[in-house]
Parts: sequence; structure tokens; C-alpha cells
Amino acid sequence: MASTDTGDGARPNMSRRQFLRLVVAGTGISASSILAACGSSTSSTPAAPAPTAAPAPTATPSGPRRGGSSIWAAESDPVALNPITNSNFSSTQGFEHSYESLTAYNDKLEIIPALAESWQTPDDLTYIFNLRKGVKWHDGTDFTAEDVKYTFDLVLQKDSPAVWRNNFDQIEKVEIVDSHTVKFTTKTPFPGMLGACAILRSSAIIPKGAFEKGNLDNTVVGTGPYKLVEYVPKDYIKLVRNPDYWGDPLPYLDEVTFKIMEEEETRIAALRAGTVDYAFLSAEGAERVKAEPNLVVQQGPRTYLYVMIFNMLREPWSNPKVRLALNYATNRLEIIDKALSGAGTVSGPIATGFGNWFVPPDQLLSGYYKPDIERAKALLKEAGVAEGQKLDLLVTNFSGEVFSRTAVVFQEQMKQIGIDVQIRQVEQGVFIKEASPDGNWNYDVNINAYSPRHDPDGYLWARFFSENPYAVGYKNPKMDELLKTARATIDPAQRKVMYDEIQGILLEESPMLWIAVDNASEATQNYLKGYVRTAFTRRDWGLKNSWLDK
Amino acid sequence: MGRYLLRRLVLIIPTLIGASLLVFVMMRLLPGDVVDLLIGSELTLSAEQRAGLRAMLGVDQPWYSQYLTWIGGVLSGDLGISLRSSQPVTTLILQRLPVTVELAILAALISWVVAIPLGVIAATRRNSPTDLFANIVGLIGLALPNFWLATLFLLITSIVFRWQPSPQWVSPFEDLRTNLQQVIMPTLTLSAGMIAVTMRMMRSSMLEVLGQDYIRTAQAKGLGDRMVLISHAFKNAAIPVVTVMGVQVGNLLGGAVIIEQIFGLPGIGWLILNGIYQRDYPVVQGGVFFLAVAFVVINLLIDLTYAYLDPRIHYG
Repeated sequence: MASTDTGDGARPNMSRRQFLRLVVAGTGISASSILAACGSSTSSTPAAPAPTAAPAPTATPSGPRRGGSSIWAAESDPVALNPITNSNFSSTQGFEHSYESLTAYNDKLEIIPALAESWQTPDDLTYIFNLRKGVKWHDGTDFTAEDVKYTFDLVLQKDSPAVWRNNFDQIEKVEIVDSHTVKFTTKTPFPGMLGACAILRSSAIIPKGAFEKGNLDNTVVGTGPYKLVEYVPKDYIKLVRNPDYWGDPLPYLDEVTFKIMEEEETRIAALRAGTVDYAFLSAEGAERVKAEPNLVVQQGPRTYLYVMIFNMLREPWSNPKVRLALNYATNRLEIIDKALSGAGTVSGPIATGFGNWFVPPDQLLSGYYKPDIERAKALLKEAGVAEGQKLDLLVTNFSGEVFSRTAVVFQEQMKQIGIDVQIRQVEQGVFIKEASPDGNWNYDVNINAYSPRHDPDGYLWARFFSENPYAVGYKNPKMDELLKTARATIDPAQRKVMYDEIQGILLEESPMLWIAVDNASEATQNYLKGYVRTAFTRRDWGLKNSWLDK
Repeated sequence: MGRYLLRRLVLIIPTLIGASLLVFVMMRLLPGDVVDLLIGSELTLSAEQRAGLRAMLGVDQPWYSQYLTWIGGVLSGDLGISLRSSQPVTTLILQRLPVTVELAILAALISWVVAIPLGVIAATRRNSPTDLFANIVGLIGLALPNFWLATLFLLITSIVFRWQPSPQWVSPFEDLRTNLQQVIMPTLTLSAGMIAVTMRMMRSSMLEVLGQDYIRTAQAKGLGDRMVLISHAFKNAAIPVVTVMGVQVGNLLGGAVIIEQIFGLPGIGWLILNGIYQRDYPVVQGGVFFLAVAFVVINLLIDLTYAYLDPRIHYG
């Protein structure tokens, strides 16, 4: 295999220590990315694509070439392409090539200008975005400030259809300054603004009136590098190059089809036979194609955080001592080995690899994550929990078998401290209902996972700020105060101190058991150049920089 | 015959209403609705937002009113709009119909061409090596799970031959060669299990018929073995086999999900299954309604075939 690890060395054969060092060195998501998001008060001119630690592919003497068509395997169906109403990550992966927001991420996950050419923050409560001129919608009309205001007004309505509205709840109002300038006023300082745009979750700009007029689930009028030709659910998404794209000479490929192949076996067969140029693979899948000379595999951690969530409205889980006891009885390295096939890294409340905000894994492993059965038993005794205490563990399979495998390993581990874990494996719809206010939080613990977030606040606010219904009984006035202050603090250094403190308290009180982030692998044919994977596993940057060398 | 047909056709109406009502109610009984699924497990939405989404999708109406609206649409030929992809259900079904029908017909044909002669020969040469061979074929076909066979096909073609068909389905009318390349592996996989069932059915049915008095009479009259077999035994023995074949084709229309998924040829079964996962009510209702119609028609055709196979059966 012409393996080109993206630097973060997710190779199962690399020692954990080596791996951790690399992660901490900031390759997962560049530390500067999230800092850049909140730091600069002025930014202009598109950041040049940062030099990348990864694949040599781009470094050919001939350089990128225009043209050609390519078939890529998509591992899941987007279901629908409406960028406002869809929460599923696969939907984002479906529309990310056609829609854009004010900002975007590059391959290092640094925030870069997109539809906004530059921005200023004259004071802590104001963002002024200078929109790119001459940008056309795919239907040929001009992109203006009206479209931006329309989109954000739609997102910010109280009963908004925007499922990620929470990401923007600090915005007070959006005003048009002139045809290509928009002013956002925020209720509190809002350091997450630029990230919330870039992550493209309920933040893609749509043309004025599009939500009411069009059928956004299967038609797309965006500004992005690719126009949608056709989306047939469960089958394929066909895209064609947008000749009017503002980012000229990007994109390079004339035509791209994402063929939906949910079975990994099918994707591997297609890669081997050369009928697809790209596919996402599991750790096991990547191992299997390693010997293929015509494939390039990029591997690395992704910010997909596996967690176990306590229902703190129920006894005895409302008692922090009990939760801490379970934390000490949980052996995360064993879970990684058995449930994630060894391809993962332990994580604290903020996903390992997310900027510089996370608690370093070695610190976790030598501290709260060091299994200590005696201490766990003592804590349970102190809390008055009897031997044989039952625990209703609600599980479904969102990502293959990982959740149910985790459940089984956890069940065994809890036996050591006399907790009788009863695994309740249910279908996805049942899980979502039971683990929500509509289902009255019907579980003791549930296993879940978080896809990428726009800001450290995204990992914490909804679940640990006591007034939010999803805190499920967690209440700590000090935590409330810290979370409120941290999400309204612009200075990254000050924020970092606060998030460290927040994570320290969370680890001690264990309202969740954070387990790990996993590794992801993406394989390409060796003639497909320019593709770089990112820790968010989005493909928009990679696709628009990809070209065919054949 | 005409009156019988009319009566059968009229009976289709309550059957379809019953099926649609059953599916409608069962879907509503499932925990979680389309909005829950749309929001997923990660998001934290306010009650107002949830209510807004339910109103937007029309699932906040009482169930009977939703049913009446839907069945009203069906009567005017409109199966509704998918709550998730916003496409008309009819379009979604029509997009998948060609693949589904092609796989079903080809798999059925292959299995019949192999199974029926094999079954007849096995029965006439009972306990001979041929019978043993047919039995082994039957057992293997039954014992091999088709997803395993499908995976094996994928592995062999991709590793040994470095070959896979073009990933995007092409209609046989557009490019027959490419199309056959695409459907050969799934149809062989699907037919493997069917061959086993049909062959065993044919064999046992044939054995039963061959043991009956009228066969002995025919032989006593001096008819040749071939004549007895074809004109007297085969037709009668075929009745239970035709019944099984009808059910098999019906099953293939909606039940080839795993094979469709492995070979990346999404058909109607896949559409419905995914509709259930997403709680996309109109898709499931429309899809099942379509399958119910198909089953009813296939069954009617089978019943009519009985009359042809056995002159003693009269409809009228």
C-alpha cells in the first residue's frame, strides 16, 4: 500500500504513546483552527491552502489538471439534501459540495473565508461580514446580502425548522448594511460564530425565498463548486462542475457521482476492481486493502466521540459518587481494543483532537481513566448502593457494531463492582424516542456518539448547562456560570483556562462516561490526486482539490 | 370465468384497504416518529421546534385524518410524498421498479429452468445417483445463506478477476451487455435458494403423482414413459410448484433487500425497509400498497393457471 498516514498515525501497529504524542502535537485538528475562529478581529484575502502534512499526491511536476469524471463511493445515504432541516452528517456530506456558508474549513480545519471575503469585529458583540462580489447562484442569479439575511432569519425563528439552531442562539439580529455587507449583532460575545458557519449545519446560505418556494430535499441551488444534476435516494448523487465558481480554477473534476454503497464489502470490491476512485473504510477495511498497490489509504483520528450518558433524574445515578464509581470501573482501553478494533484514542468531554481544547489522553489515562476497582467499590459503598444494583443500558446501532460491542464489554467490566448491567438493544427510532424528553428519558445509561462540533461549547452547553432539558438532571451552579462565561469569552487563552476547569469538574462528577474518538480511513485510487482527508471526515475540501492523473 | 374474474377483482378492494390500514396503524404504533428520526440522537431541540417540524410535515394531525387524506390520494393515483426526501412515492417506486422486476424475473427464470427438470428427473430416477445429486444441490442451495454467497461472489470477482460491474445501474434497453454484467451476480445469488425449494417441491409432488392410480392406468394402457410423464403426471404435479413459484416471485419484489444492498442495486424492498427506519410513513404505506397489489395480481394469475393445469378445476 502506498500508505500516506495523514501524520496522525492511526495505524494500529503504532504504539499508543507515539500516537498520543502525535495527536497532542496538534495534527488531528490544528490548534490554530479554532483559535483562528475566535482570535482575529480582521481577516481578509482567502487563506492560501495550508501546506499539508499529508499525501504527496499533489506534489507531481505536472500539477493539477482540469477535467474528467469520477465515481466515488458514499458510505451512507444523505436521505435528503435540505441544508437547514437535516441533522444527519450524511446529509451534510451530500450537500457540502453545492452549498457554502460565510466561512469554511480547509484541510487542516482552519477557518477560512468562503462567501464572506473578510470580516471585522468592531466590538465584542458585532460581526461585520464583507461578502464576496460576483458570486452567482447555480441558477445564474446574483448572490447578495439579502440571501444571507433571509437564511439567518429563517434559522433564528423561535419555531425554526433549522435543526442546528442552537449553534446560533447567541445571535440577536442580522442586518443588511449594503448589498454585499451584513452585520450580525450578538446577545453576548460569540466566539463560536465563524465555526458555526463553517461547519455547515443549518448554516449553508440558501437563495432568498428558497425554503418556501423550492423543494430543497432533492433540488439544490447553491453557490458551491458543484451543481446537483440528480439525487436518487439510496442510489446516487450526480454532480457537475460549476463553471461560474468563484474559486476558479477549482474544482478540477468535471463530473462526480457519489454512488451510495452502504456495505463495506461492496466498497472494497469496487476499490479493488477500480470501478470507484474513492471510498471510506473502517479500520478493518483499511487493513484489508493495505496490500493493494493501486490504492492510497489515508488514516487518522476523527472527531467522532463515543459516550455513555447517565440519566441523572433517576436514583442512584443522580449521585455523583455512584457515577464516579462507574467511571473508575470502566476500562476504556479494553473498550477501544474490543469494540473499536484498537483503532481509537481515549477522550474527555471535548473530543480528543479538537483544536487544543481537549484533555490530553495521557493525562486522562494516568488520572480519571485509570481503572481502580477498589476505589469504585468504596465509592459505591459510601453512596449506599447495594451489590446487584441493576443498570438499564439502552443501546442501538448507529455505527455498525461499535455500540453493541461497547455495551457487552461495559457489562463485563461492571460485574467487577457488582453492577448488574442489563443491555436493552433497540431499533434506532425506539432509541431516539426513549432517549429524549418525548420518551421521558427511559434509560439509566445510553450509548451515543457525537459527530464534529463547531466550537468546544458544542460539546458541553446543551448537555451540562442545567437549564437545558438535555442536561437530564445534571445541575451544578458553578458549571452553569463557567459555561455561560466561556461561551461568551473571546480571548482564546482565557477560554482555554475555563474549558480546562470545566472538563476537570465534569470528569469528577461524571455526568457521562466519555470513551474515545475513533480512527477513520479513506482510500483513493493512486491516480486520484489532491484529495486530503480531514478529521471531520467531510469531503468538500478534498473533492474540490481532487484531480485525475491518468 | 368472466364472473369469477370480476368477483376476484372486486375482492381485491377490501384486501387492499385491509393491508393499507394494517400498515398504517402498525407504522403509527412504532415508537418514535419521522421528526424524532430527522432530529436524530445528537440534537437538542426545543419543544417549539419539534412542534414546528411536526406541523410542517403534517404528522401533527390525528391518525384517522392522516389516513383518510392518504387513501383519498391513493384513489386518485397519488401515493403521497416522502416525508424525508420530499419526492412523490410513485416516483420513488418507479425509479426502483425496473431493477426489482428485472432481478425478480431473471432469478425466477434461472431457478425454474434448472429446478423443474432437475426435480422431475430426480423423481423419475428415485434413489439413483441422479436423485442423490439433485438432493445435494437442493441441500446446498437451502443451506447457503444468500448474503454469504453474495459476499463470496464479490470477493472472487474483485480479488481473483479484478472485476466489478459498473456501479451505476444501466437499463437493459440502453446497454444490454453492461446491464447483464450488473445483474448476473445478484440473480445467481437469488436463484440459488429458489432452485433448492422449487426442485424439492417438484420432486416430492412428482413422486406423489407418480404413485397415483391414474398413472398406473395410463401405463397399463400402454402409453410410453415420456408420454405418461409429460401429459399425465407433470401437469398435475406442477400445481403445488406453481403456487410456490408465485409466492417466490412476490417475495423477490420486496424481499431481496440484502442482496440489493450488497450489489448496490437499490430496489423496492430497500425503499420500504429504509422507510421503516426513517418512519417515512407515505413511503412505507405506498410501497407496501404496491406490493400488496402485486401479490394479489400474482395470486390471481396462479389461480387461473390451476384451471389450465387441471381441467377438473373450473371457475365460474
